[in-house]
Amino acid sequence: MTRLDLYGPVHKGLRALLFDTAAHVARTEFANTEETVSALTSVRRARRFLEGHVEHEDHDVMPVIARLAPELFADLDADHARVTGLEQELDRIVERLEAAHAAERVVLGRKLRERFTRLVAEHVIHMEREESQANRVLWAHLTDDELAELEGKIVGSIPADELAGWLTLTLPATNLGERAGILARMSTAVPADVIDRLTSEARWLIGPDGWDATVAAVAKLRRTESIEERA
Amino acid sequence: MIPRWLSRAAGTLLAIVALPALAVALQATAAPVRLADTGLYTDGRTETLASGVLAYAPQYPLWTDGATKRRWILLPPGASIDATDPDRWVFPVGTKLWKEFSFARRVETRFMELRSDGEWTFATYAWSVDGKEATLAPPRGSKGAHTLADGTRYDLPSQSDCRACHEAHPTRVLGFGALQLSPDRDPLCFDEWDEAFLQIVANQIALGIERMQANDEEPELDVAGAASPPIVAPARATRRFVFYVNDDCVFVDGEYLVRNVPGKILWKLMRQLRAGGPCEFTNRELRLDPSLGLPPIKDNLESRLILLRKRLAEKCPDVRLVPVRRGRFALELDRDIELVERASG
Repeated sequence: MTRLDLYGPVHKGLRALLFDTAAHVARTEFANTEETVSALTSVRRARRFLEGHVEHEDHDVMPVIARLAPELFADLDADHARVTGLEQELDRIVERLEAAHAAERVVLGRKLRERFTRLVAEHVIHMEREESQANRVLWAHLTDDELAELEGKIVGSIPADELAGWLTLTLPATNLGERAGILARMSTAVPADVIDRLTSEARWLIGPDGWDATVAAVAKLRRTESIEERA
Repeated sequence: MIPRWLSRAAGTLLAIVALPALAVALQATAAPVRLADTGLYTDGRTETLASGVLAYAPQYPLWTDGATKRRWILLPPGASIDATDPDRWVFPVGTKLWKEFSFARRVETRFMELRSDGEWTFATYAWSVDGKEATLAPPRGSKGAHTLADGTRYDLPSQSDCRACHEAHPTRVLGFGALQLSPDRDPLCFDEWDEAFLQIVANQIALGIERMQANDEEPELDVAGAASPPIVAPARATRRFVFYVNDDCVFVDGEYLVRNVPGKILWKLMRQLRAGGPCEFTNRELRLDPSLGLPPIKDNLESRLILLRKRLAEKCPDVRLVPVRRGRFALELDRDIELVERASG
C-alpha cells in the first residue's frame, strides 16, 4: 500500500531547484555582470524556497518527530544546524559578490560554486534521511488521514502567491500519480478556479499534454475514492 | 604400599620445608590487612601521607555515583617510570597506587602494588564508620557496604572486578598516563564542579519525574465519581523487534523504540541472548565491542543505557535491562521475542 508521503513531492521539487541552480552557477562567467546578476537571482530564489521549507518543517513536522522519535529529531536537527551554517556562509558570499568588481567576482564566483555544491550535497543527504527514516516513523505512528491533516495545516499556512511558487516547483518535478494526488487533496479544500490560478505557471511548465493527463488522473483518483467511500 | 614411617616423614618434611615456602609466597602476593600498613600514611596513622606519596588527578575521571575521589602514587626510592612509549608506561617494581572514595565520609580505598614477579596485587579497604581505620575487604567484595544519601546501595568491588577493569589496559594502571596527566588540560573536560552541578540538576529532574508519575498514577474520576475501568491492551504472544541496519534504528511491534548506539546495544544483547548466550552483560564488554562505535573517551555508556532502559520501560515493559551490580546488568524477557533485520525501509 502506498502511504501519504509528506516529504517526497516537495523534496523532488527542491532537488530539481537545487540541481538547476547549481548548474546555472557552474556555467556562469562571473566576470560578466549580466551573467552574475542572473546567477545571483537564481541562488536567492533557491535560498527563499529552502528557508520557507525549513520554516514549515520546524514549525509543523519536527515537533511531531520530536514526540515520536527524540533521537531522530536530534539527528535531523543537527543536519538543520549544519545546513543553516552553510546557508549563512553562502549569503555572505552573495552579498560580497553584489558589491565586487569584475576581478573579485571571478574569485568569489568560484567560492559561491563550491559552497553551493556543498549545500546541495548536504541537502540531498538530509532529504534522503527524512524520506527514509522520518517517513518510517511517521508512517508507523500516524494514519494517512492524520498525515493529510498535517499537510493541510502546512499548505493552509502558506500565502497564495507563495503557494503558487511551490506548485510551480513541485508539480513539474513529480510523476503523474504524485501530481494527481497533490491536486486531488488540494481540491477538497480549495475551489477549482483558485487551483487554476495557483497552477497557471506549473501548467505551462508541464505542457498541454502533460496537464491533460494530470487532469484525467485526478478525475480517476476521485472516482476511485468515491467508490471506496460508498463501499 | 608406602611404609607409615615414610609417609609420616614426608608429611613432616612438607611441614618443615614446603608450608613455610607457601606461606612466604602467599604473604608476598597478599595485601596487608590494614590500609595503614600499605605505606600510604605516616607511622600507621590515617591522616598524614607518608613521605614520597604524591597526589594526582586524571583529567577524565570516571563517574562513581558522585563520590569524591583522591588518588596517590608512591614509587620506590630512586626509581622512575619508563615513559618511552607514551601509551604504555613501564612502572618500577614496588610501585603503589591508592584511590580513596568518599561520600561525606571516607568509604573505600583501593590499593594496587606491582610485585617483583611482575604481577599486581589488587586490594580494597573498607573504612570504619568513625573514619579511624580501613581494613581489607573480602576478596569477593562487599555488596551494599554503604548507603548513599538517595538510598542507593554502594558496593565494594571484588578482586575479580578490579582485574576485569585493570587487566584490560596493558599497564594495568588506569588514569595515570600521558593523556590523563597532561598539563595541557582539555578545557571542555568535566571537572568535579561540573559533575556536582549536573548531579543537582539530575536530582531535580528525577524529583520532577517522580512527582509527575505520582500525579499520573492518581485515578481520574468520571462524572459519576467512579474510577474508569483501565484500558487493557490485548496481550501479544511475541514482541517483534525490527532493526534497520542502515541507521541503527529499532522498532518494536511496529512502533519506534530507539536508534543509534542504544539501538545497536539492544540489538547486540537480544541477538546474543537468542543465540543461547548469557543473559548478563557487563559495561566493559560493551565498551570493548568496536561494532557499537562508542568513542574511546567519554563514551556516555551509562547515559545511553539509562535511555535504553527508560525507553524499554515505556514501550515494552516485558523486556527489561536490570542492573545486577555495578557495571553489570541483565536482559530479562517476559515474552518471546522475534528479531528481524532490515537494510532500510
